[in-house]
Amino acid sequence: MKQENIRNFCIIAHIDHGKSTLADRFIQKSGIISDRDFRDQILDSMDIERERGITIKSQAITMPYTSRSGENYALNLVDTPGHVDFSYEVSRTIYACEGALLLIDATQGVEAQTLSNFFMALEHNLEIIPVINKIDLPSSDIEGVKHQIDHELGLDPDSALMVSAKAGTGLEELLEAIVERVPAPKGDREAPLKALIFDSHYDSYRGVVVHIRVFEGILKPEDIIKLWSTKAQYKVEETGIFKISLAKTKELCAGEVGYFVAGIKTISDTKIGDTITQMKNPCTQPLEGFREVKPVVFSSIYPVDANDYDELASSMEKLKLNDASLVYEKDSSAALGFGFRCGFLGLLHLEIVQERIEREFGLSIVFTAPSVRYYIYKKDGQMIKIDNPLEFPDVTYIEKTEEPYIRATIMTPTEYLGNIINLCLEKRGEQTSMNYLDEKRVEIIYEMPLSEVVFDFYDRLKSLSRGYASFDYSLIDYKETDLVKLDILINSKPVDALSMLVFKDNAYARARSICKKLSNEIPRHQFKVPIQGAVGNSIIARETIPALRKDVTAKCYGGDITRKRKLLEKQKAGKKRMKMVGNVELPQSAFLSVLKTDTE
Amino acid sequence: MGIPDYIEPGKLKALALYIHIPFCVEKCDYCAFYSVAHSKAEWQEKWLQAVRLEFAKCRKLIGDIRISTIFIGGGTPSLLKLPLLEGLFKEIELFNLDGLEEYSIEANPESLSPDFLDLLKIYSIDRLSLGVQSLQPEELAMLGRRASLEHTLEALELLSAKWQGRLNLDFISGIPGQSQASLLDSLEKAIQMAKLDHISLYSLSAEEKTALQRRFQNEGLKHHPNHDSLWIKAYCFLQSQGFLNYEMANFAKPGKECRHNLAYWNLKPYWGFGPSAYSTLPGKKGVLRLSYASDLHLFNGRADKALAIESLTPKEFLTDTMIMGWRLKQGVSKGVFLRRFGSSLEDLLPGFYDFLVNKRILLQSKSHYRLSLKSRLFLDDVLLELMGALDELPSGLLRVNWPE
Repeated sequence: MKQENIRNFCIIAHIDHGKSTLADRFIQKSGIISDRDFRDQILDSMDIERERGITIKSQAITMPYTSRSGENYALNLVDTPGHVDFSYEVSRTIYACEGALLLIDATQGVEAQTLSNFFMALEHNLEIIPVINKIDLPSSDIEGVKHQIDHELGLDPDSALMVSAKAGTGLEELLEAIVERVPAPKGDREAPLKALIFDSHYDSYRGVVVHIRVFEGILKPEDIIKLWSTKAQYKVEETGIFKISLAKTKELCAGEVGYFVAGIKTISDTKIGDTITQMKNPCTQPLEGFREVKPVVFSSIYPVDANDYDELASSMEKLKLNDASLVYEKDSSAALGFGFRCGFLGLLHLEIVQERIEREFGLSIVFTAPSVRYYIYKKDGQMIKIDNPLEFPDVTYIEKTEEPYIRATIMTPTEYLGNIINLCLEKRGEQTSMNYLDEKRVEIIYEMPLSEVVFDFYDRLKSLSRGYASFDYSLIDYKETDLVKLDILINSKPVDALSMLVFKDNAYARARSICKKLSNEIPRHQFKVPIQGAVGNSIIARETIPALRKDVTAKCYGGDITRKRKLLEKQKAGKKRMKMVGNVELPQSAFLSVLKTDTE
Repeated sequence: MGIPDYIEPGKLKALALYIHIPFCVEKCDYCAFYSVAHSKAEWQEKWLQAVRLEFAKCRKLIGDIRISTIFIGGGTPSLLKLPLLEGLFKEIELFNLDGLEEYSIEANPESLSPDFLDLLKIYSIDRLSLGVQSLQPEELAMLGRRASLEHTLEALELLSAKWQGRLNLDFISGIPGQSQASLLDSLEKAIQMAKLDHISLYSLSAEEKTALQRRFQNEGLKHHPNHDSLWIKAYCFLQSQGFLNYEMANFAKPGKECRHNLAYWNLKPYWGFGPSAYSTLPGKKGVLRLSYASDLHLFNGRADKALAIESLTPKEFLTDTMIMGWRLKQGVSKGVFLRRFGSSLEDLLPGFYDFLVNKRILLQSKSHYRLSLKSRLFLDDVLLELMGALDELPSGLLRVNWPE
C-alpha cells in the first residue's frame, strides 16, 4: 500500500461514550468479518473487557476502504486502553497514529477522560476529529456539545461529525473524513528501520506477537533486528497485519501498522514504547518517550484452598505470558500459606489480575492490602526497600522511613474544586499549582504520597466530582514519612495477611474502619469473635462479632422452609471461599473489604 | 396452571389447612409477612371470593380427606369485617372437619372485640394467638406497633373475662433498647394476666424489605448487643414458669403445643391459601411446594395464575425435613425418617452421622435424631454440614416416600 493511502488513527473517549461500538461498526462496514461471526465489542476479546465495558489491552485492526473518489485505502484503527493505570500504554498508542477521533456522547458532553485524552493527543500533534455520538437519543444535546467543543477544547465545532454508532448512521461521512483529514503517515522507506512497539500478545503457536508501527524503513522476514532498550537480537520469522486474525504480509513499510513474530519467548522481553531497528543498518536515535514500566502497587495473592497453590503458580505463569507489566515472586504467610507477592501498575490492574485468575483459571484467591514500596533507613546505616508489611523491622531499629510521592494532575469543573482540595488535603497532598483553564475548568497539581492514592483516592475523586474530574500522575521522588505497621488480630491472633504499613496519623482511623468492615464480612461463629487493630502492643480499635443464635430463634413456619434452605445454600457456597485462620472462618470478601473504601 | 394435574391426593391421609388473611391497618416495622395496609372493603370481598374458588378446587381434588388442623393467620385476621369472617368460617365448614384436632386464629390487640370472640365460639375456633410482642410502651413504639400498651392490656383483660379456649401470646426478644428486666417483666405480666398455655418468643430479625431493615441500614439503628444472653434468660424464665421449649421459638404447657405448627416442623402435608401462602403436598412425581405470589390483586383476579409450583428433589426434601425437624426439642423421628427416605440417617450419610456423634451434637435417643440445646441454637452450622454431606451422595440413591 502506498503511504499516501494509509491512515493511522485511534478513537479516544470517556468511558461509555461508545468507543467499542464505533469500532465494531467500522469493522462490520469494512467487511473483513462476516455478520455471522460478528459479536459486539469485537476488539475487547476478554470477558472482563466486555463486561466492564473497558478496553484493557490495546488492539489494532487494518480495514480496507474505498473512498467516494474510488481510491483504495488501508485504515489502521488502533484501540486504546481506557484507564489511568494504563496511561503510558495509551500514550504509546496515540504516538503510533496521525489522527484521533475524539468521541463525545451527545447526551453527556465533554467529560474527564475526554479532556485528558484530548490533551494527550494534542501533545502528540495528532489531527483531532471531534465526533458526536448517540445523536439519535432523545436526551442528546448536540448544540450544547458543540459549544463545549468550541469553548472547552478550542476545536472548530463545525468540524464535528454526527454519528450514531449504535444505529450505524453517519459512518460514511466519518470514514471519508478520516481519509480527507487525517494526514497520511510520512517516513522514508529507504531510511534505516525505526519502529515502535505499542503492544504485544502471546500466541501459543507463534510465541510473542509484537504489535508495531513502522516509522521509517522496512521490516521483512529474515531481517535480524535489535530491540533498543534491551539490545536483544532476533530474527524476524513473519510480518503481517491485523485482520481480526493475523494476516501474513511480505513486509511492513514505513507508515504501516502490523505485527511481527521473531521467536521471542516471553512477553516481558518486549517493552511497550521500545524502538526496533535493524542490526545491520541501525537508526541513530530511538523513538522518544520510552519508559520502563515499573510496578507501583504491591499485594500478595494466596489461594483460598492451600492445595491450589500449584494451580495458582501455573495460572500466574500463563497470565504473565500476556501481561508484561505483572511481576511476581513467591511469598508465604502464617495465616494463608504459600502465595505470590505481586507488583501492579495500579489498583485496576490488580483487580483485573484477580478477576482473570478467578474466571479464566477458576481459582478462589485472596489478596492482601495493596502497598507501595518504602525505604527504611536503619540505625546501623543500612537502607532496605520493602513493600511487604511482613518485612517491616522492629521500630527500635528504624532511623527514618521514606515513601514515594507522586505529582498528581487533576482537572475538574470549578464547582467541585472545594471538594477535591479537601480530599487532597486529607490525602496529605501539597498544592504546587492551580490554573484556571477557562471560567469553568481548573487544573490543580498536587504532590502527595502514592500510598494515599493507592488506597481509595481515585474512587473518591470520581464520586466527589460526579465523574468529571480527570486524574493523572507520575512518580517524583521519595520523601520522609512516619510509618507504622498496623496489625489486625482476629480472635486475639494476628492475621499477618491483614497487616499493612500506614502513615502514623492515619493508623487510628484506618484501624477502626478495617475492624468495622471485617465485622460486617466475617460470619458469626459459635463464639464471640473480637477483631482488633494494633500498632505494636497497643490496641487502637476493636469490634466484636457476637455469636450466632438469632437466625435460629426467629420464627420458622411452613412458608419459610424454601427461603431458609436457599439461604443455607448461599451460605454453603460462600463457605467454599472461606479461609480458616485459627478457628475463625474468614471469607474472601473479608480480605477484599479491607481494600475498599467506605464512602462515609 | 391447574392444580389437579400435579397433586396426588391419593397419598393424603389428612391435611393441615392454612388461610392467609393479607390485610393490616398498617404495617409494623419488623413484619415480613405479606399484607396490604389501608385496603378497601371491596378488596377484602374479592379476596374471600378468590379463596372460595380455590377451596372449591381443593375440595374437588381431595374429596372428603380429613382436615387435621386449621390455622387462620395474617396479616390481621381480626381486622376482617365480621360478616366476611363468618363467610370464611362457613366456607371452611364445607371441608371434612370430623376429628379436627385444632382450629387457631390470629388476632391483634387493637382489633379484638367481644363480637369477634363470640363469633369464634360459634364456629368452634378453639385457639387464639394474640400478637402482644411486648408490654413496654417504648419497645412497642420501637417496633412500630399500632397497638398501644393500653390496647394490649385491654385486650388481655377482655380475653381473661371472655375467652374460654386455648391462648398463645407472641413476644419479641432483641428489640433495640430492651433489657433483661423489661423482657422478663413483659412475660411475667402476661402470664399473670391471661390464661395462656403457649408463648412464642421470636428473635427480632431485620427481614428483607421491611421498614426495620431500612432503619438498621440507613438510620443507624443498632442491633441489640446482648441479644443472645437476653434470649437465654427468657428461655430459662419460661421453663421455670412451666412453659417448656418444644421448638426453637415456641414454649407450651405440656400437651398444649400448637398441633398445626407441629405439622410444619414434622413436615406433614399442609395446604396454604391466600397470597404468599405456601403448601407442601405430595405430587405425582415427588414432593411439591406450592406458593401463591405475594400479590393480593393477582390472587383476587386469577388465583391460579398467582400459583407457583416447585418440585422438590429428594435431597431438598431431606434438607427441609431436617431444617424443620431439628428445630423441635424432640428432633426427627427415626421411624419417620426410615419410612420417608427408605434408609436410616446413619446408613445414608455415615460420615455425617459420625460427625454428629463425635461432636456430641446428637443426644442419646432410641426413637429420635435429637439435638442438644446448644446444637439447636447453632442449627445452621449443623445443617450446612448436612448439606455438604448430601452433595457427596449420588442423587440416584435417595428415594422419597411421603407422606409415609
